[in-house]
Amino acid sequence: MLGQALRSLRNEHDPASALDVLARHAALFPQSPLASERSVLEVEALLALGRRDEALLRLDGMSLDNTPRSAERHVVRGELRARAQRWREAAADFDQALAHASGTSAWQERALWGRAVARMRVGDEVAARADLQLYLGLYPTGRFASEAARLLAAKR
Amino acid sequence: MKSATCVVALAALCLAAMSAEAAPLITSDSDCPSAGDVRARLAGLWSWDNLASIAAHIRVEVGQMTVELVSESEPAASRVLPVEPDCESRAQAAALVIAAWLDTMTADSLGLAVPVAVPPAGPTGPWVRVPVSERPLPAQARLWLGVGALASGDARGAGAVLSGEAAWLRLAGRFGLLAELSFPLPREMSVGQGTARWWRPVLALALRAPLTQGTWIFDGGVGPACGLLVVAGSGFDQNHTDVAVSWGATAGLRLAHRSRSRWAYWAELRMLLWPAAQNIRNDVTGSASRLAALPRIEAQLGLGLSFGVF
Repeated sequence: MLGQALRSLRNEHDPASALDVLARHAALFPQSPLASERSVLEVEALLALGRRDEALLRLDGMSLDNTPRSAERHVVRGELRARAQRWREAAADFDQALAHASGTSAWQERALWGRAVARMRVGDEVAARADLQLYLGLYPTGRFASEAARLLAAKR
Repeated sequence: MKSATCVVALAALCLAAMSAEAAPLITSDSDCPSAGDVRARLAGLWSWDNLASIAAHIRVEVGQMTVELVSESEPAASRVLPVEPDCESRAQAAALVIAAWLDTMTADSLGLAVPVAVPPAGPTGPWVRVPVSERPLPAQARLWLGVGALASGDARGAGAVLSGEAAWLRLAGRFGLLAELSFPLPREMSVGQGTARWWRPVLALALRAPLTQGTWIFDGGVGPACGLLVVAGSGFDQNHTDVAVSWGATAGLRLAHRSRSRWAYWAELRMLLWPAAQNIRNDVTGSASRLAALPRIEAQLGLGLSFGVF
């Protein structure tokens, strides 16, 4: 069933069908050793359907530490928490992502920018400023570079 | 355990050399399941569209099977599963684990899910705007029908082309086929004392693959083209009409914007190549023939729209 869900999600681009199959799998095999994989796929399908609140609910219930690609998923959860204006939790997720990763991938860029924004929202101006400067240093032509530069200029 | 660590370290090194769209690197310290078994099971569980570089090592011990996963920029992590009695089930379980964690969550669906855009700071300090949630893009259709209008240019001047197309996406992995019928407007050129009017509608078949994903899609294609050349003379002592087949090739790059409905709008630059020389000849009694060569390379640039049928 998980294979069927994967095919629906990845190859047929049909997240709704994938979600149906995953729900049936959960009902039939609640204690499956592949429950983590099922949860990951549920989140992916929910996000593909734009059901972000539900995706966040699932991610809130998951332990992301020590899972494969945990840093990337911390970024996802951080962004969803930021969208829900749960800024402290979002900052913690971005922190986790940046602490366990190396390089300058696209999601690391999102993590750094997200953390800067979350830190601003919780009033940690010094740390936010440091993040913005780091962001501009690492991604001078990045997706959020112009906004980061504008923010830094405004804070001078 | 030491050897497993070495394998994981080696896998991490290999990952650095892998392109972002390479197939996952899989190793196993067991024949049950072997790396080949797992690879075979993995086929069909992932797509090329949004693949992250990942390496996996499978270790089978008493009572448990460990799938160690290494990605380019994160520490290795393991999933421990109970050992299934048969090799096939073990391979299937390992493949499911790898596939589940394999796909990278797209920046389009997630980065844009929370565009934490920050407008210019006001007098009260910076603030964060969390935009209203966006509707997701619908699942991408596989059969698309489209029309386009293009300007063409070649050694003989400029022209205009109208085209109609049918595209089947993701026929094999990320590759699809596009069949296109294009109708250029008739053109004229002087040959000796008269004028030749020529017209070459083209049927082209192209293998296409997207180079990017998301709302803006950049894709490229290449394939054979068959033209039906129709030439009619006027102003000559004797006017003739002739029809000939032209074989050639086409290659193009297209930037498409996929809207939230099933419509997509695109701009395309394509080239048509006709390897065999084709000439229009004016035979004048008592003097040498006059030849006018038809263009062998054409460039076309245009706009179009497509509709995803299903």
